[in-house]
Amino acid sequence: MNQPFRLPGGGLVDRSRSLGFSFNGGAIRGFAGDTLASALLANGRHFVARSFKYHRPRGIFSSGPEEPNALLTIGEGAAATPNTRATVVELADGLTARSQNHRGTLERDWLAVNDLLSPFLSAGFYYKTFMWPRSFWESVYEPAIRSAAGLGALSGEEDPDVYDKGFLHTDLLVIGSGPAGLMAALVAGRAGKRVLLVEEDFRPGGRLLAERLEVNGAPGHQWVSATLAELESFRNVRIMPRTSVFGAFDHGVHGALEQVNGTDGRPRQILWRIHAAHVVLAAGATERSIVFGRNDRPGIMLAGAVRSYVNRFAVAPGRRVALFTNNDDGWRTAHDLAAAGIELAAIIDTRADSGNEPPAGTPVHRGATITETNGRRRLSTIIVNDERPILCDTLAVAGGWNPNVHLTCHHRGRPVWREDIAAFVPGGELPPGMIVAGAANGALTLAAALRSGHAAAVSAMEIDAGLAEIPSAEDEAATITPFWHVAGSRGRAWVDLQNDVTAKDVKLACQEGFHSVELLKRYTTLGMATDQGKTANVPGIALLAEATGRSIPQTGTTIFRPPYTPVAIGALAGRSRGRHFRPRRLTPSHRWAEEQGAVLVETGAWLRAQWFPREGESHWRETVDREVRAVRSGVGICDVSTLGKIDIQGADATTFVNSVYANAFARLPVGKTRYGLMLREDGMVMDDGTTARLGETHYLMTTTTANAASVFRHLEFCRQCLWPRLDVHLISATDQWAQYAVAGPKSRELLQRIVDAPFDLANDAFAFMACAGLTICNGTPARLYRISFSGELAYELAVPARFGDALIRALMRAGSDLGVTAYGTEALGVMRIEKGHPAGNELDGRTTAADLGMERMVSAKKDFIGSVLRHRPGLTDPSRPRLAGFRPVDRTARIHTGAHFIGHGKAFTTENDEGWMSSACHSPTLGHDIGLGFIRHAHERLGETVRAVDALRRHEVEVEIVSPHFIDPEGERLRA
Amino acid sequence: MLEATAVIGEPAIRADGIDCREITDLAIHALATRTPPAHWPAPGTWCDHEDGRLARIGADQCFMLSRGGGAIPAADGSYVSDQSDSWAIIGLSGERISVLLERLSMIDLETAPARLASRTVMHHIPVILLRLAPQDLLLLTPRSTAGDFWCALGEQIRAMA
Repeated sequence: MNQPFRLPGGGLVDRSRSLGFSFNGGAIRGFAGDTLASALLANGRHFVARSFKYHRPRGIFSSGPEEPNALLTIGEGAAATPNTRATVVELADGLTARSQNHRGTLERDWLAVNDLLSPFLSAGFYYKTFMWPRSFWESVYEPAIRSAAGLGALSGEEDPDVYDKGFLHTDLLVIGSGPAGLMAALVAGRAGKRVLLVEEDFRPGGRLLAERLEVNGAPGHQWVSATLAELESFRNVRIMPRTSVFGAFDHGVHGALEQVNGTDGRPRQILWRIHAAHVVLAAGATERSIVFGRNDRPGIMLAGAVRSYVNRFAVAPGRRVALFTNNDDGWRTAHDLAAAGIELAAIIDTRADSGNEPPAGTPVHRGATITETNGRRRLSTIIVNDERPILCDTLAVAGGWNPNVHLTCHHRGRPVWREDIAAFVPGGELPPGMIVAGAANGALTLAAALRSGHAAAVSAMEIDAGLAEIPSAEDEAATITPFWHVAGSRGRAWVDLQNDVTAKDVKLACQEGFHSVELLKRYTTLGMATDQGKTANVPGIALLAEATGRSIPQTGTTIFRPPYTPVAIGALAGRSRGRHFRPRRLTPSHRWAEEQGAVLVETGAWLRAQWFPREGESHWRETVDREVRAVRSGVGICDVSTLGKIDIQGADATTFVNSVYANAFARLPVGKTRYGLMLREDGMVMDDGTTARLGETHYLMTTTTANAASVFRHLEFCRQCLWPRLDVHLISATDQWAQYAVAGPKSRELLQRIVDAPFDLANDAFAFMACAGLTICNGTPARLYRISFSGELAYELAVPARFGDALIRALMRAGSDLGVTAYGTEALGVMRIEKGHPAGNELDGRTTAADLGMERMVSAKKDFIGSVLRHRPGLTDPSRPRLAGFRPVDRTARIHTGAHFIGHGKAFTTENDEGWMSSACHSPTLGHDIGLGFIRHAHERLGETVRAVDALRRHEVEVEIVSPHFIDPEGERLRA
Repeated sequence: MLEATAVIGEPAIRADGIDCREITDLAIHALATRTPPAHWPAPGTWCDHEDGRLARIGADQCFMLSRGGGAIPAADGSYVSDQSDSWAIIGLSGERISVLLERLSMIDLETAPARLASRTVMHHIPVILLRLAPQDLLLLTPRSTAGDFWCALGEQIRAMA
């Protein structure tokens, strides 16, 4: 029979829209407006899961996000999502769901044997057992435990879904669309305030959809529909169903996750960052259970959930239902069931003096408890007071309601205990701008919730209270006498269904000294995982209080932290994955480089050509050696656009540049470039580069590629904070210019072919370190700098970036008969090591100017950043390692970056460590490996040999200490 | 003369209520001075200027957007830096740009000045946003990351169609 547990009438599902879905491969149907849980129940699928540790049969326990049992895997293949609570999944046509955490079928799970071993699997068992042999823990025991226990499994494939992020701004954020939330939104909406009403359910209305309570004399859900219709008519109100606020962060920012379930590039979920001036938290309350013997069988549910399934989804949770309660609210379950024509087996009230009237003919046991239950895969009987068995297939348990205080605690607010409702309510410091309303604030009746929502909006927004009348509703009976635990139960009594934590586990933890609620949580796992103990925490605290002889307020709660509800990692990543994991910076010659088959490398965010392999070259070294030789013997071109470029202007620009560099810049003439060494305040080298003086008040500073942003930030700090009176202005020009190094003895000849007349490139007219503005290629504006990183005669030619692609092509064409060769960062690095130029490996934040052999460059006549602290004793110690060159004694041997220098015959220890190799390469010019490194007393030890020990690669080589300038130490080539 | 290359060089993206295209005929010059002239707009806004549009993107800094073919505009004593090649300029228009923008930027267009000129971040990439009209925006984004930005923008727009 189709949907045998669907009630013949009533409910808020759309019976005209039948939806097909599957559970464990079986095709079944539900209605639009169902959750997966309600549709499963309608089809009689009460047993849907196996428990975490003992693999016990479990059924649907709740009707909301608090669900601890019904965790299913939704979807197939890569799109499969494990650990999804069936109670919050909106039924969709074609949905596939599978149970999880079983070996074999759900019904025949051979790991159910764990249940027989339960005496050995108590709280913290893995801390006490599996101690021998020690080596087995990681290799055998832990994998076995992890395999046997747990929840669902990820597919292991890349998530095919798309996730998005977004930003919202509002005057008033209303969290929850129950009676309090709707009332708050209505008041603020009518006042013209920008209102954002978010609701985690796919249908707004909260408990009004699940109860038969009336508002203004009509069913509550009708008032919901009318109110929503009015709110939707306001341009200033936005309603977001399927959206969970999971965290309250600083500055009024709230994180929210919207389920969109889009396909074809549309997002599955959107992570919203909501900026709200005010917040009304109307998140309602969550019902809790009572702890009694074998209270985990399928068919045992929260009483409020039973009402939800009957009233909202028109589903009978069972054929014969019993009720176990300690409060008046639970009694409404009996009346709702009777109204729906569902047989009531009995009402068991822990209170002897409750005066509630049962539906006609229903047996009532007052002052009684349930001590045991029976039924293998479904509840069959309950035992009341250890005496009479009562036949029933469903038990509704009403243990009281816990206000959903979670979000109120994200700024370290601690909830306070209210005896009258036997629950924690928001307390301490709430997130700024937050007001709590309705059941979330302990207003557990309908009329109180409506009043509370109204007052919250009026108070938060300072608006006219008369804008919306409070509708009439009843303050239904809600008296409670706390009752937590049936002490006489013989069977195991579950406190936390999701983590298989029993009352005995709590007592054991207490017995072993874990008296703090925080320690209890860690030791037993109570309150962890997807439900975060929404139904388990308060009973667990009550049991701990009982065991320690303290009160519940004295015992306290654990700290609530975001997220309130599970958030997929994919949602946190949003679109920042794959290609968009982080932005890539491309140089103006990127397309051209790709056409040449360049091998690209990430340098910071930039993609740069590492080398340009040619046909027939079988190894990168072969390519790089060719590129170096081409530059040294002819001419090569390298894209250096990635170097940071900072445009500095102002009447005080000279003072500024002179103050941020350690070497003198005050007398740099217009039209000249100078190498600059920049120190940090602490005297260490920060960065280096060249700075060109383009005009009396105009400089262009270059930085290393990696440090471009940090140097700019440093300069802005100096400008704005240290010397605010200076007339100086900075702007990044890195992206503005495409810049190419044209290097090699034939570089002048090549440039002469593209530089427009009458610009004179002769050595006398445009000497080493000159700079100028000019035009090239018949009128293209350009800047030319005669600077060299390779040690050869070299220039850097810059054009506005739009001409960058055309320029590289023009240079390659113009120099084809000269053998012009494109070279990448690897050849660039080889040539700078051959020349002895320090770079990133040497400027690692731990080296001083003296360490780099540049102490004579540092000015003693001026004040500059780092000028004071560079004299610290630790930095002036003459035994500090200094830069030197290294070459293998056996010229055929390899040397490696990272090797440490150890004297002959000495052990490889920290005490004997004399320094390190910071850069190494094969020099095609010299025909053997060379390196740069730092070693103590370097300048006094030229010609000495030491061992370069590379512990990582288990490699050792004898190296000779030499000058770092392997080629052209006098600089004749670059001045040619 | 060398041939200029467009930063993005892709056809416009048009989807349900959103039009997105690269703008290649605007020059950008940064103007900076310690004593901003009276005709500069308030920080975070832009105003019309005889040379184009003047956007105040800092206490002592403006961007002049002009169709002057790259010529340096009158500077009122300010220091001028050509930024025309530093930025890709993208025009976004249509009735759904506010819906698009809430997926891209934390700027609150509803409370922002009508002539907004604001720095922001979209897809981890810096952007300067100018609201030319209620349904007409100009985005300036660094040239080197413009390709990724355009790609991400396109995916976002198509996903909203």
